[in-house]
Formats: sequence, structure tokens, C-alpha cells
Amino acid sequence: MKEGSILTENVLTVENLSIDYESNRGPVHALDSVSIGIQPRSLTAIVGESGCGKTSLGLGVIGLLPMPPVKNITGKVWYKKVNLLDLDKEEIRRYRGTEIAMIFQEPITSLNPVYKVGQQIEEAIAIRDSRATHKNTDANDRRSEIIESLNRVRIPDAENVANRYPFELSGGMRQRIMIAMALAQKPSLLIADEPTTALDVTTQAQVLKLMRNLMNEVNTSILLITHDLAVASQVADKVAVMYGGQIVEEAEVNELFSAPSHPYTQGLLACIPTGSKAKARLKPIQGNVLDLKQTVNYCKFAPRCPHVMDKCWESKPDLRTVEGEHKAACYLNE
Amino acid sequence: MSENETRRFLKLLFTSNEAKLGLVIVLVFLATALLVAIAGKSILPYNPIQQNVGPVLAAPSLQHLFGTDNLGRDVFSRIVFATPNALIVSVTVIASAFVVGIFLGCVAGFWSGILDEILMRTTDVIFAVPALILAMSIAVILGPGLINMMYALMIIWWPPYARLARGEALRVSQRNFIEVAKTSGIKTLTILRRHIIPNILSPLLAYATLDIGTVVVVYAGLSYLGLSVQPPTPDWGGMVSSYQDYLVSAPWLPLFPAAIIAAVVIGFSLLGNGLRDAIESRNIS
Amino acid sequence: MNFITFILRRLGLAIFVLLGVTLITFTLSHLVSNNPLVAWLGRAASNPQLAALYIQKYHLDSPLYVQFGYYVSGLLHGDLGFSVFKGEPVREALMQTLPFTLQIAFFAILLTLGIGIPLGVLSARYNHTAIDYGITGFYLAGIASPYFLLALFLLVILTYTLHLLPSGGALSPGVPPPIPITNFQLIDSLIEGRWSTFLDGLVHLVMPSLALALGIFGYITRVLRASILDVLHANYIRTARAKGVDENTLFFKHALRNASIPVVTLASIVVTWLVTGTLFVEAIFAYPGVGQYAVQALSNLDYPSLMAITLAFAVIIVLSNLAADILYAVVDPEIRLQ
Repeated sequence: MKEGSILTENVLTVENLSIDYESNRGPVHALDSVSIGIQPRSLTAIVGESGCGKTSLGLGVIGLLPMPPVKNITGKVWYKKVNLLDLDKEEIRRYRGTEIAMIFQEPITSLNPVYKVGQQIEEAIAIRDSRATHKNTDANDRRSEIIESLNRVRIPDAENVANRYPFELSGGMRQRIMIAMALAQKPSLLIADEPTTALDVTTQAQVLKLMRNLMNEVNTSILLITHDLAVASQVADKVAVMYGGQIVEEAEVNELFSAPSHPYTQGLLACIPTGSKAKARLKPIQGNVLDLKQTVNYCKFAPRCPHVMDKCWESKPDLRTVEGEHKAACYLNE
Repeated sequence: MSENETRRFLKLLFTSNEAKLGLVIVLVFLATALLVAIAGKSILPYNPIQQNVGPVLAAPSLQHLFGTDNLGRDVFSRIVFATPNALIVSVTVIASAFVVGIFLGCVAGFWSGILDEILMRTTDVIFAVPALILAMSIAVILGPGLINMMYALMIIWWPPYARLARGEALRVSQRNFIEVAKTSGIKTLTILRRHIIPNILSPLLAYATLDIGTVVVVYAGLSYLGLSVQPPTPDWGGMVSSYQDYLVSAPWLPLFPAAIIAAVVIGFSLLGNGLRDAIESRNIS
Repeated sequence: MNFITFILRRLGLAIFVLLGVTLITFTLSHLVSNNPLVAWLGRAASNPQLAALYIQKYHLDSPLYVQFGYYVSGLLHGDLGFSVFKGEPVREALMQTLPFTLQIAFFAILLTLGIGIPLGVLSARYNHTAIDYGITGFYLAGIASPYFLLALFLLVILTYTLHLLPSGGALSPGVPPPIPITNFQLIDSLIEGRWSTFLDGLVHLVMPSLALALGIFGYITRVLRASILDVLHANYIRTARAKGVDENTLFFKHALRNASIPVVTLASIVVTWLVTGTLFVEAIFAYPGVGQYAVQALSNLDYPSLMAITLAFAVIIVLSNLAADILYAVVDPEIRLQ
């Protein structure tokens, strides 16, 4: 990797990040030497099935991993020339919200039930202010900023909504409020962990479109974590596919969908019900979910791969360039 | 429960140290009570009623483990002798509350409507007066004595059980399979017996174990007020009040019986907690 | 259903319940003896003038349900019968003794919260450490103790061993009591500027209140601990962390606020314990409150007093339950706005 130029271009650069969890049957390797860069003003989607490590990646960036189960974290996470993994608890807290924000999957339980929505957004703004070099807002300014942030996520009747408690609002509205709250802190990067999974399909589309538009409006990059390739296809600029704690393919979105180079990606795409053929059968990926407790010296996908070769059992393929920005970790491409 | 489930349940119950300690205390209590009930005064070191078996107001020693009282009676023998009282009262009161509570609760929860309203309002009224005060008022009418105290407590103890049973019965009644059972013509009694009652038993049992301690405390309070067995027959609560004047000169006199009461309550408390945790984790897993 | 309706419904229920309790006391006192005069006058039932007066006023020659009606209306007018051993109407006796008991109750509640809440927070913060187990052992001992054990225990240690506190009574002998204005000794002595009386009164309140508080604070500690641990795993705590909130604010503003909600439901248990406990605590500390009055009434078989006291306690409990319901609605917006 050309460190110099990438570091100054990317908003976030993850370098060989590995995360181990402790379990009563031995360490679980949730992330295995993951490297990825997030460009400014782009939406990068990380796609993978449950347990592939994508959530750990998101939490690991801003130090939200619960440290008792999590044991080892190695690698580097570069943000504005600082390795976030070098920071202690208090230092990394200062990056949360105002530099890197994160929103989560269940809007129902992600907002504090005993405070009004407006109060919670105000808290976010207050934190931003306390970190700014010159405090530039007073109570009135904050009030109007709260309304503005709600308007920005297209919530109707913002004045009224700000005075409501979370339980009085719908799931879609709550997720928009989460986005509003996160963006009110003006972060450079927003990590969204399955933000639409708990929503119905129509609301899902609306929220995704909203996120895409906002990205350009407020100059925030988005790292979208999802298990749903279809979601990624709707809004991503770049897609990284994860399997077994590793990135197995990474490409610009159109490229990935038109020319998938890793058998896992191909399998995922074949799973999507397209509805084009009347009698089309779903083609699932054969085999079982990976056991992350084992450390192996071969390609993790080999047991399930329809194109497996002898070479795949002898050593692990690295993430190599297939063409231009398109990378894949598969011996088939060499 | 299947054999495997039972084994797993027991294992869960006794994993925690607290539950084990509770069990030990409870077993000691039960064993003592049973021994005294069966063998009577013969197993005691001294006759609990006999005066001057030792020097008056003697401090605890090897001859008199808990010392002697103002009439020279051996305190340890008196305390042990009074053990069955607490057991009889608490077991009887809880058992009757359990049965009455399940019955009323099922009726109210299953048939709902006005029966339910009546139950809820009646329990509301009974809840408004503290157990001890209400028992005291009833005791005034019945007169003192162990059996009378038992009756007084039995009359007022059932409401929490009825409410718990009603809640469970209500919850289970609303599940679909009850509708199915009803429409397929299964007799109501069978539905109750086979479906509703088994679901009610576990939470009620956990509550009952914790509740035994409460009965012991309330009964001790009534006994302290002089409403239970009359002197010279020993009873824990009564001993505390009659020895109270010796708090300065012979503090062990009122403190030992009081501490024994607390110990028994702690035992049932720990056991009950263990039981409740084991039941809850069984429901979760 | 909004808040006002909610309160009105609870109020209606409260009135119904109190009526039910009067039915119980009425029934009980008539079970004591066939002679309804006994219910009102106890042993003074044989006094011809009092007997005639009460027969006329309360229609004691009419059927029971009529008597009940007059009983209730009598209660509402403040006539609670006549106490023989006290030699005065029950109402007078209650008005003398109730303020003292309320003083104890007030400080007992303060102590209960003052001990229970911090210990709950501590045992949550240091859960599964020695501190946690120590606190648990401490409060278990308290909860399990019969009403009189704690009082005796405190008496032995604080009075007879350490000589720190007086052994009983509301005031030390020789300390002038205040002129009764509100009937509350503490308030009166404050109003009248009698500092020595006020302080002496306070000193005499310590042990009775502490004896009560030690027996009940454990429930608050236990519930709060469980509640805090529960809340700390909630998603909204994670959100707050992601927002950059610092750990202190996270705990006190976000977690504790939510964790306190279940504690309000304990109000009923706490008040019941306090009310019952005063009987024993006041007897042991010779404190001139309703508890002591009740115990004396019991040994004198003074039925009117006993029934009136039962009713008074029921009123206290019902009112505090109502207050707890209101508090619950204040603390939990979901209840308030449903």
C-alpha cells in the first residue's frame, strides 16, 4: 500500500485489523487482518452474513467493543493521521460523535425512553460545542439547530416531534432521528450498522435514499454495514464483501455486481431472488457457516467453494488486485 | 419435567453458594423441628420449662450454650423446643394460602369478567392493611394461642397467591391453544388441570419459598405481642419480649431468639432466591 | 386515557378500598361481642350514660346495615369511639400520637433512601466483587430481621455499649416540650425557637428511624442494583456512548434515571413495613406514637382503639400507594402519556 498518499486521501484507513473474542471454548477470531480505506464523500458498504465480523469492524473503529469478551486487537486504524487504536479510553471518546459517529440497528431501543427527542439531539449538539474551539451557539441557536437537523432528515412537523418521547414515534422516524442526531455533531464519518434491517421495505428504501442525499449535503462519508447485498446495490459507491472475518472482495459497486470475482460473492448474487424467471429456484451456497475459532492456513471459503482447487487448501489467498480498484482474495484470479 | 430437565434444574439451583447455604439452614431448621415434634423434650439437654437447672442469668457457656434466663431455665433448650411452632405455622399458612390462592386465581383468571373484578377488589382491600395489623385485629377476637394465630394468618395470607395465580391463568388462557382446547370440547376442569395449573406452579413455588420467611417474621411479631402460646411455654417471639428487660444485664437473652428468627428467614430467603433464579433461567433457555 | 383520568380512577379505587376496610373493621368489632356497644366503647359499654348516648347517635338498635351506614358517617365526622384505658375519645388519642409516628416515618424514609440508593449504586458499579457481596450480606441481614431485632440490636450497641444515644422516649427528662401548635414536636420546637428541644427531639428519633430503615433499605438496594445492571446493557446507552457522552454523565443522567423507575414500585412494601414496624420500635423505644398506642390498646383489649388504628394505617397505606402511582407516572413518561 502506498501509505503516504492513501492516508492523506482517505477519511479512514484500516490496516490489518484483527480482533479476537474470548469464549469458554477458546478465542474466536472475529476479524482476521482486515484492511480497507474509506474515501471522502463516498458510501462504502461492508456486506456479509451474520458472524462475518462486520459489526466488530464498525465497533472496533471507535472503541466501542466491550473489553471483557474482546481480548486482542491488533493492527492500525488511521484517522486524520492518528492511529485510533493507540488512544486510551478518554482520548478515543473525544473522537466519538464529532469525528466518527455511529448509528445502530434497532431504533426502538436506541433512544433513551425518558428524555424527549429534542433533548437528546440537544445533548449531541452540546457535546459538539464543548469540543469546538469557540463556542458559537446559545439556547436559541440550539433550538433552531435541532429543528433544522430534524428537517434535514425530512421529518414533518419538526417542532412537534422534538417535544415527543421516542415511544410516541414510528420506527422509521426514530431511525431518521438517530441519523439527525449523529449528523448534528458534524462528523467526517458516519458508521451505520444495519440501520434499515428493523424497518419495513418501503421505509428502508426511504432511509437509504435519505442517507445517500445527506452524504453530499453535509460532507460526511458513510460506512454502511449490512447483510443485504440489495441494500448495498441501492446506495453504495464501493462494496467490500466479508467472509470469515476477512474481506474477500472489494470493488466499485457496478463492477462488483457485473463481474464478481470471488466465488462467495458470486454465490451471494445467485441467492438474490430476482423474480425475472417464473420458475427460478433459489440457489443457496452449500455447506455450513464457518467456525471462527479455528486458525487455518487455507482459504476459509474452500470447504464451501464450488470451484475449489488443490492450491486453495495449501495457503491463504491475499486480497489482490483483479483490475484497477477491483480486488479479490481468490486463487482463481491468478 | 423430564428426568434430564430435573437434573439440569437441580444443578442450576445449587450452583450458587447462596442457595446451598440457604438449603443448609433450611434443612437444619426442618430437622430440628421434626426431631422435637417427634421426640419431644427427651432430646433436649434440659427441660425447657424447668426452672433453676442452672444459675440464674448465666452467660453462655459449655453447659448452657445460650445461657440461662431469669428463672434459671436453659435458653438453648427453650429455643430448640420452640422450633416446631414456627414450622407448623408457616407451613400450614403457606399451604392453605397456596391452595386457596390457586383455586381463586384460576377461577378469576380463566372465567374473567365479574369474578375477576371481585377477586381484584377484595385483594385490594386486604392489601390495604398490613398483615400483622390485620392478624392482630382478628387475633383480638379469636383470643391468644398458637392455633388461633394460625387461623388468623390463614384468613389473610392468600391474596398474593391468588393474584399471582390469576395473572398466570389470565396469560395462559389467552393463548391460542386454550381456544382450541375449549372449542374441541375438552372439559374446563381438564384444561385447568393439564394446561393452566402446571404453568402456575413454578412461579408460585418460588414465591412461596421466599414467603415462608415472611410468615415466620409476622408470626414472631404476633408472638412478641403475646398473642401466641402463653408462658411458660417457650416461643421465639414471646421470649424476646419477656427477656427484653434484661437487655442490659443479659443481652444474650433477647438477642439469641431474635437472631435465630433472622437466621431462619435468611435461610428461606437464600433458598427461595436460588429457586426463583433456577426457574427463571429454565424459562429463558 | 390521560393523566387526569388515571388519577381520578386511582382515587375512586382508593375510596372503594377504604370503604372495604371500614367494612372489615365494623365486622370485626361486631364479632367481638353480640353487643354493638362494645364496638364503640369497649369496656366502657357498661357505662349507662355513654351507652344511651351511643345507642341514640349510631342507631345501635337498628339492623346491622343501618348501623354500618352510621358507622361510616360517624367516621367521616371524626368519631372513632371512646378509649377506656386512655380515658378520652379515640380521635384525641390518635391526634396526640400520630404526629410522633409520622416523625419517625419521615426520617425512616429519608434513611432508607439515603442508605438504600447509594448502596444500590455501589453494588451495581462493583458488581460481583467483595464490595457487592458485602453489601448484599448487609442488606439481607436487615431484611430478614424481625421487627424487634434491629431495635434491640441498636439499643445494645449505641446506647448500652457506646453510650451515644438515649434509650427511649421522645425527649430527655428535663427538656421542656414545646407548646403544641401543629402537634408535631419537631416543627413546633422549630417554630418556637426552642433549639435544645428540637435537637434533643432529633437525637431521640435516630434509633427508632434507623431501626426501621435498616430493615427495609435492602429491597431498594436489591432492585436498584438489578435495574442499573439491566439498564447499562440497553441500546440507548450504547448510542449515548457513540455520541461521545462521558462515563459519569452516562451513568447518572442516562442510566440512573431509567434505573430508578422500578424502585418506585417498592413504595408499597416500604410503607407497609414502616407502618407495621412502628408497633415494635415504638414499644421498645417507648416512643409515644401510634405504635405504642396500639400495643397498649392490645393489652387492654380496647377494641375501639384497635379498629381505629387499623383504619388509620389503612388510610396511610392507601394514600401512599396513590402518591406512589402519581410518582410513577411522573418518572415514566410512557405511563403518563398513554
